[in-house]
Amino acid sequence: MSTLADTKGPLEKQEWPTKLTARVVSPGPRPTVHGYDVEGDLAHEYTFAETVLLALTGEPPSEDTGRAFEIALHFAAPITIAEAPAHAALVARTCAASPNQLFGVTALALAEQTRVVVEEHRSFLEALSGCLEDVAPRHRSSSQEERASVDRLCRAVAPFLHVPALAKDLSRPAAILAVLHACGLRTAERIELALSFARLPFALSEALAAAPGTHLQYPVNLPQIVYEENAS
Amino acid sequence: VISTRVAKHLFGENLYFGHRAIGDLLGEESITGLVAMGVSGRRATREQRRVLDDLAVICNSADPRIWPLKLTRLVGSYGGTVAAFCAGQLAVEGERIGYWITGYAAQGLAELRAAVGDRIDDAEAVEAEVRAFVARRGRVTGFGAPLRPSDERMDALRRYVRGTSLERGVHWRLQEALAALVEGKKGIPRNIGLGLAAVMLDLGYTSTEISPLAHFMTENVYVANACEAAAQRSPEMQRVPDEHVEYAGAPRRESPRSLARRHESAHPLQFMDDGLPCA
Repeated sequence: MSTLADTKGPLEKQEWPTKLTARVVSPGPRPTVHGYDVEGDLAHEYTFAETVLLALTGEPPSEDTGRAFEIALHFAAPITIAEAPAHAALVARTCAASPNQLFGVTALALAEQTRVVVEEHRSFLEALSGCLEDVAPRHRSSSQEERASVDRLCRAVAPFLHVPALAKDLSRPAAILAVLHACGLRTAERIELALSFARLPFALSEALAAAPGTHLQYPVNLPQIVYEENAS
Repeated sequence: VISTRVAKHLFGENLYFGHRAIGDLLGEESITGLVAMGVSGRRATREQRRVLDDLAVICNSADPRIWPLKLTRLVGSYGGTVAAFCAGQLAVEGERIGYWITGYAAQGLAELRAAVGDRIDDAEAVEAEVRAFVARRGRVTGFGAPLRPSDERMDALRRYVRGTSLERGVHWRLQEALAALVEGKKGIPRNIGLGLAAVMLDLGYTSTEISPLAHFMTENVYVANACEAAAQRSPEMQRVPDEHVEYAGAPRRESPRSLARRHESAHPLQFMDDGLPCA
């Protein structure tokens, strides 16, 4: 006797592929990334950051490009407890979150933060791929401290990579994005992922440095939230 | 200072949008009503709650093979229920898949409503505005029922609405007029996103409120899959056997640095027993 469970639905009537397609990492006992042997080649010849860049771009970087990429990641990496991703990680820690939970919370918050950063620079990134002439005022340095930081980035990168956009008095975020773009990350989505990747260990470390389960020691009124009664 | 209308924790009571949870809401509210209040800040009437509950039942499409639910199962396969529940929903906040699209469909109907104005009973004027709307928009959210001739949820919603006051709702009538054109001319069936949007707009919710309302009142589909997947901890879900994976990436090759190093040292490439080059 047939039951409803035996009845074919739309998902049974459709022909589906029968295999997953791997396009970056080859399956099997000797993994490759874009064709390059991880254990026999990349691990010996490339830094981990360079292999990350290879994964994102499809081609192994030159030593100079790899060095510039690492410098950009260094500049992008510091995230203070004042910023929501590290703050959220700390709150998760005070709730005694397990490492997987801590990672999930932090990665999600970082992904949201970098999504907004990249979204705010979308037209700037498009201009980098074309012909960058004028830079919008919001993408320029707005203080001496910021200008000094961008100058440190310029001087660090200069021996390895020529980034013409850095001559345009960029803001710190715009300057980091320009270097990442010059390293071969040509799309906003790849830059977004690289930024989140750079910041994740630091946001997590900030949380791990605090004692777990200490929610009564957490400053619950930062920032202050005030209830306004407005029943409808 | 950040202001909130959501809640305040008191001694002996919890306020929720100005209502005492224990003193006012207990025995009166439902989970659907609490969710609707969470989205809009307004308390739904008993009739609105009844309709929202019925909509949630109509929308109860929880087959684990549906993409966001498959995602839920994959993450849940290691035993984490909440991780699975959260992850499954992350990919649907957009205009492509899941009930979040309802808000986009609502934006379209609200735009059409504004264009029609007080001419809702003028069939010719409505049709002209619908044509202009479709021409202006190109792709209209709320149409398309993949893998089947029509969306069974939308069919059920039309039967549910028939003969009720909902059938006279302005946005419901506009979606009927819109469907008459798109289904009739292009042969693309409307989906539940359009119907939900129309009913929710007629219930008084705004386009901005409708995406989260439609999403959160159908969360049971993620709950069910997250709970079952976490309990199963399926090894097949944790790792698909290698024979079911095909590699379509770049062929095995030697990196430029490895090549250069070999040339410098004049060492020929050596191969292991399996034919792969040694480092």
